Amino acid sequence: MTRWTRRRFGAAAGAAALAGIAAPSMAAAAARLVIIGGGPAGATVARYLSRASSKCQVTLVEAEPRYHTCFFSNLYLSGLRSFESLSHGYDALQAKHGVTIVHDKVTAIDATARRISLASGGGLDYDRLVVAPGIAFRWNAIEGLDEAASQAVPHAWRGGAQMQLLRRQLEAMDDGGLFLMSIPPDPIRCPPGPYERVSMVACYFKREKPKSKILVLDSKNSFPKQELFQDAWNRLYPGVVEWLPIDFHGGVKSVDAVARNVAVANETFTYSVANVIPPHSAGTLALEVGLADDKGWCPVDPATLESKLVPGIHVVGDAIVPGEMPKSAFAANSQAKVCAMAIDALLGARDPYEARFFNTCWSFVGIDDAVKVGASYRIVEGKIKAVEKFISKVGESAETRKQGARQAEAWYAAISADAFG
Amino acid sequence: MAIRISLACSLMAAFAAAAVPAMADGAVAAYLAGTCSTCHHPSDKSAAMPALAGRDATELIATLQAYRTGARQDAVMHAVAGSLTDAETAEVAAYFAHQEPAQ
Repeated sequence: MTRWTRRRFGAAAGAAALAGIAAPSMAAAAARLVIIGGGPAGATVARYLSRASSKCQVTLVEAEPRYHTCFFSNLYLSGLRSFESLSHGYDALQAKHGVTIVHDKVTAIDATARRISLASGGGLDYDRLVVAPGIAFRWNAIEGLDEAASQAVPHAWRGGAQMQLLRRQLEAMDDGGLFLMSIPPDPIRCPPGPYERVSMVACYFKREKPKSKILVLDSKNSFPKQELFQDAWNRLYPGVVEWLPIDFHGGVKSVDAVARNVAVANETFTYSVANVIPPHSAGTLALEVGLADDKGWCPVDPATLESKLVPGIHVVGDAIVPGEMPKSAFAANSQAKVCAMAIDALLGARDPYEARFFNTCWSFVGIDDAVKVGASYRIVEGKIKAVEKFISKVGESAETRKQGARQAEAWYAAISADAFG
Repeated sequence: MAIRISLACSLMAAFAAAAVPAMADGAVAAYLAGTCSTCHHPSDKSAAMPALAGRDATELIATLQAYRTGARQDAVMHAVAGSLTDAETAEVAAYFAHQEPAQ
């Protein structure tokens, strides 16, 4: 990688501070922008920075050769979509958009020296760093559920191997079995996602294993799009889904992967296949380098997505404290564009444009039957607030729901291209 | 319409001149258009989320206004259209109108 003359931005992040840097030397060198994490958040930042008006060199650091989306994976679990269709590489970002792709693991960030260290031994200097670390799981929050146990009791709350494991278990399950799902407390990635999963597994059972049942142990007493999901479960899968709120069962206490038991306060359930999603925190890297607060999430200035804890580092996606936005790929993609725009503005010593955010979460409740929830957002008194919210309604026509499904599929294609090129 | 847009633009320019320079017009349009690109694939020929590149700017402005007033019904597009000022709507429309349609 080319080394530019050592030149750093002032510690203060404001445009006025940046404007003080001598103009001729700024014009001469490209700013070194490094993005860590190649999910929808990080990839979108890389792609949008690659076409920034400021002169810059964009590098994306990602350990894995391909990214498998968690969004739309419930369709794969249901047998309605191939695993390959959820897999995205980084070639286009490099070839079409000039982003340097470094497949490596980040071992340390030196925010003072503005340098990251890589597992392979090298390092990268940066002028601005964007970290998109996704989520980590709080292992052992449930007794018996550590990372090793997730090889028997998958979380399947990240794309890839965990999703394939759960699919294999569902395929191997005898008809008449019990699929047990445990849903963690907020904040979680993709808040309606667990209930879409219930719907899509029920859809699979209806076709392939009609005597099977689903038991849902929720850490909440209510959930997003609840009326819409429960209407669909009664309408499409009567008698299949039993959803128990935390006030009813008292919380999941332990998992025994050998005996195939999940224990709540006063009862133990024996399952055929279990999907226990652990509580979340910001991704491990964010925790290690001090980007997360005592609750385990990353506070940011929503106007620029710059960390409130470590100046010069921006954080985007599921790891941040997002105000009223949910943790979703759509939200991550939206935050990424604000972040890229703000970095471009800061590099040019200009004021960032007023941030706008948007989100829509489509959920499939059946074949050709998708519902949505979403909102537009702005920053109000330093926090991201919803401006206009919308949600599907119970009793919508089959045609409306089918249109929702087509829109969701079109969105998947679009956001994938928007992030990965 | 055109008068309102140019008035809004000159007001924006006047405010911007007083403080730190505002972002370049092209950068703002590209940023705002990013909201559309999350759902509209550049080469989608389906009716669900039609491609926007190369579409007539006047048509795009009229469509966004119809979503905003409710003359065209769609909850998502109502929220999108409502999040843009008239000047921003014109910028986004011009941005897509100037793009080459994908094959």
